[in-house]
Amino acid sequence: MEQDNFINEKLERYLNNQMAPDEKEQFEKEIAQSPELQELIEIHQQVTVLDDDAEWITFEGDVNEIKKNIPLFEDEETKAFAQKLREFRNDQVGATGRKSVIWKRLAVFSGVAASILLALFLTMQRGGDLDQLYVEHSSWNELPSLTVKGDPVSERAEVEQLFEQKKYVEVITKVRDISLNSEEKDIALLLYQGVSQLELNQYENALNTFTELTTSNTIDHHKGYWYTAMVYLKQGKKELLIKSLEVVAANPKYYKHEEATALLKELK
Amino acid sequence: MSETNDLIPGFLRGEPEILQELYTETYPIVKRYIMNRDGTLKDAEDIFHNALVLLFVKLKNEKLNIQSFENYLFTVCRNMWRRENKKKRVTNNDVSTLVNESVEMSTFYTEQNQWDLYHEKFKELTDSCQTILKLVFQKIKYASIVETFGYASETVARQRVFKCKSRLVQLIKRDHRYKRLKN
Repeated sequence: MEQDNFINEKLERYLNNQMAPDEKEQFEKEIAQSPELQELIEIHQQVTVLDDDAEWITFEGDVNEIKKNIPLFEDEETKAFAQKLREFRNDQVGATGRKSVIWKRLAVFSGVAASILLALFLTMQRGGDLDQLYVEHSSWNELPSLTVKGDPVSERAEVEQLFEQKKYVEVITKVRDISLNSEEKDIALLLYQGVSQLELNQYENALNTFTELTTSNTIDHHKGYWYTAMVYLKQGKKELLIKSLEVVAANPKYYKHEEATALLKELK
Repeated sequence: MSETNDLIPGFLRGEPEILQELYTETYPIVKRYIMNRDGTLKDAEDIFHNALVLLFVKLKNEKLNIQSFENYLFTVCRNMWRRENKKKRVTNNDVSTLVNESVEMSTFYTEQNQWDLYHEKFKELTDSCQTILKLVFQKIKYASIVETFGYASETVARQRVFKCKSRLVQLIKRDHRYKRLKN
């Protein structure tokens, strides 16, 4: 056990690049001669990316393990199941396509009647599927840019880059660091922070951030209502979602007023 | 959503009601995940289809210990997409290689088994070990970890991390499935 700890401690320092050059050289010689150390390094590296969206742990073991499973995917039963799936999906997509054609024909009717039909059609199509609605409405392309022309390396620009790379934890940490050194409330940064918290399913934190936004004495405070609605939409909390949307729908000057009004109609 | 145990027999028979349920409840989440990560609608369709086939094979040939069918289905889809992305990066997008579909599926099947083992062992760690390792794996700075956990110093935090990581490695190495995968 003591010996294990000693090796692991050394490994950790090696993997974190914390060894002095001569110690590192010496340790690499040890690694080259020790299959056990090579194996340990492989596991350490693999567990580090266990849940990393940008990585995947490939299989480096005995190739016979792969070969032996190939027949499982070639047997008749599996093929029949795959075929059944394809047929089911084709029928389903075909049915949706036919519904669209029907709708196109109905669309020649004008005015109120057509609007009612559209609302009914959408309700039937989506079946109140809040997940689907979240996919449609949670576009973050409209977040304000934090990059000032000619200064792509500022701390704010870094937040935007981290966000684009979907490194949401780093975004939150970075925004907090910037905020600690600033006396003014930065609405754009709060938006990036709140959306990152939402992406990480930190709903309480996201709601707190967006409340901070709506209660701020700034020109863009109303954006907080729309993003609050997005939190409830992702959580599937329909009643709270409707209440948030109603605030936006009641104020024509509020951010996403039209989108909120349309979404409300679909939900009710 | 149906209970996992009620759902599996119908899924294996390819019953339309069960497939409908999966396409209504789980597919939108998978689609959102993939399309938010530079995937197309076709990618989402293909991944979901292949994940269902993989689950069919797994359920037919193994005793699968899962709490929730739809959560596991999402995990398989997510892992397939991670693998696809890595493959695209490695092949630099412009090298097309003809690979037999069954070989591809079998390779992923083995890799998913390996992931299942690592993940299962991770879940056997204490809650505090899991939390601190998640932060380290997300490359959070040690200064933040010290602050979050109230450790006396970065050295103390690093010691804690390597103890947790060593425990995880030990759990993995001791499992008979790991030995089988390596031999």
